[in-house]
Amino acid sequence: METEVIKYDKIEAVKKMFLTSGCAQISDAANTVTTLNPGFAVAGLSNYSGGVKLCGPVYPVNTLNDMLPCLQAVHTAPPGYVVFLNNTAGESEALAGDILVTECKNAGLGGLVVNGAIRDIAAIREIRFPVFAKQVNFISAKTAKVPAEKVPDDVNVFSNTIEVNDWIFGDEDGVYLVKKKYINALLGGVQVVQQREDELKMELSKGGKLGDICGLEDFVAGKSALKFDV
Amino acid sequence: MEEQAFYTELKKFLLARNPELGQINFDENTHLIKTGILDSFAVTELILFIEDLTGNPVQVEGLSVDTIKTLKSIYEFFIKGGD
Repeated sequence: METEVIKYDKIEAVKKMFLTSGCAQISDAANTVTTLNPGFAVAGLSNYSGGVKLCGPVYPVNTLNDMLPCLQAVHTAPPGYVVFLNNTAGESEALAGDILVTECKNAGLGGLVVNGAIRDIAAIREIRFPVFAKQVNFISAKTAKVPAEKVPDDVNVFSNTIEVNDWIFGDEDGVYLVKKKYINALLGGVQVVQQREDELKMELSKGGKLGDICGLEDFVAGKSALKFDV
Repeated sequence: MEEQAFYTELKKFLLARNPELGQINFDENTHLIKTGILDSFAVTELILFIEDLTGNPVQVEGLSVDTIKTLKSIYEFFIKGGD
């Protein structure tokens, strides 16, 4: 890989932070940065991870219903990276099943995201490895003939470009992509958003009422600001 | 970066982000969150601003609400802590 490979220690540190938060908090921390575009939701993907969270730098590749670029990407992606398979075909045959997912897990990858179809869903859930995909199709991609022009390569998904070393996160709420330049600042924001949520939940667990905590009545009466920033 | 210059730049950032703050008098010890000057959603933007200001990526491990509660605590965490 010609571009810089993110150190595994860094990936583990980010993963540790993400385990205590989620895509909702990342979205909260990102969406108020109005002058920049630090990230975006990758819409239309379903979660087949069996409850395991997705987190890691992206290792993207394009394919046209051909297994060969998928094998190339999984074979060359560094540990901790999330392979992102982008099928440019109109109708996707399955680009991954339980065999490829097992290989991903054995290689220590951070996850597999398929903008296209996968299969062997029941077996994949048993593997307990982060897998997100757009569709399910039991018909496997039939060819493994045309190698990828470049691995990793930029991919265009839903009018957004995903580049190697961008970061991708996924959980039960969805999938969120963070541009590499903003990962540090965004993680800082996420920590504070999460802490504020935890404080709020603690007050609720002690019997506090949300409207009182937020100063709802004073706000409605125009006396003060609403203290609700999570 | 010199402490007073940092406060001046940070105040400019906060005012640009929320022009209504022009009515509020605040200094380096004012609690930014309790007074509504800064909310937790704005932290990402704050960190990006500080990175631009210093020209260096900042360390975010250990960042908490306490570290951003006043201009002084922000200076101590992001600037003094990074020396």
